[in-house]
Amino acid sequence: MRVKINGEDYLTEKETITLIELLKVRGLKRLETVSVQLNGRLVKRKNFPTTIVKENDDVDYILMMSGGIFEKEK
Amino acid sequence: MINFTEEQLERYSRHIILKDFGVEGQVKIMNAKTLIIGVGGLGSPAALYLAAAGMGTIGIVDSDIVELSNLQRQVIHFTKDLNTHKVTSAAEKMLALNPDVTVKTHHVFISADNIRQIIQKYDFVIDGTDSFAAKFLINDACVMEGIPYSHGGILRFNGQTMTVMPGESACLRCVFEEPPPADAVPTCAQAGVLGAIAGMLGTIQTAEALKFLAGTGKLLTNSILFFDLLSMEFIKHTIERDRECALCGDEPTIHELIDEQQIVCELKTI
Repeated sequence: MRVKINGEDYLTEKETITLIELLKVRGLKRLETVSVQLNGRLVKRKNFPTTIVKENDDVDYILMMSGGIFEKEK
Repeated sequence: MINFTEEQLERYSRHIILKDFGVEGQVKIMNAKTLIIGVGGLGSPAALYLAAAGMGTIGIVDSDIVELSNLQRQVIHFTKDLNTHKVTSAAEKMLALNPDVTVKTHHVFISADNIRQIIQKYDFVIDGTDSFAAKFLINDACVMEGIPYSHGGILRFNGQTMTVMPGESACLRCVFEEPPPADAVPTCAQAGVLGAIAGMLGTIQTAEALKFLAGTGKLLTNSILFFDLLSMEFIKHTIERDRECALCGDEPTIHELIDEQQIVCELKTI
């Protein structure tokens, strides 16, 4: 099936995939800082494992940036 | 109404002749108060541009001192300022740039105990902090106090920003729910940031403050602007308020501020 991820086409052999699987396949590791919209609706993080992504779905994700830098400046 | 002096007319002439800003916009910002939390990478350009613009009162909050590794991007601090308080160093430059503004320094570490008291006196807040904990604290305090603010974050070659109008537009918790647990960000080894990106993001935040206070244009609400300097792509993600938001939703569960655990980041070498 074909889905859109952040505006780009993504092809997978699976007919359905859970949101959490899809994010992991995309290489996202820090799921604690990600915000996902499925077809324009926010998905709560706790629902990532049970949310099913289907053909032609539109997935938009944003990673939160904490500001400055993760660098200990001491 | 402010009667401009001749010096002010000349100093602010490029605002005054600017369509959709003009005398009215200038008067509004000269009567307004903006708070910058963190005078680091984002706060440095924000402080300079707000001072240059003639913002009536600019508050700056920071508990840090100037360190050598700050100078790569925190352009309000100079080499001579090493080991001095950031708020003192910043205030000096702001007043040298424009003695017309009032600068209030808050040499404190913001916490659940003091933040509401500090932000209450201001019309707009710019988040220039560098931790998840501080960002959620600012979001929660601004939403509780009904004070609009600009969220900003940078990392490596990327930046993101969003303007929050409490009660009207999506807040940080609508989008990101809660800060990651302290053990969820295990390494900082590959982080770092291109200095110029701090200038880009801090000035976007400042533009939002000036637009809001002058009452002009459309704010960056219900959307997050994300940009990647490597590809020079700017993407605006449309978002919406979450009716289930724990802070600003229909049945909020957060009624008090708490200090989230700070993530302490060890600098590892690979």
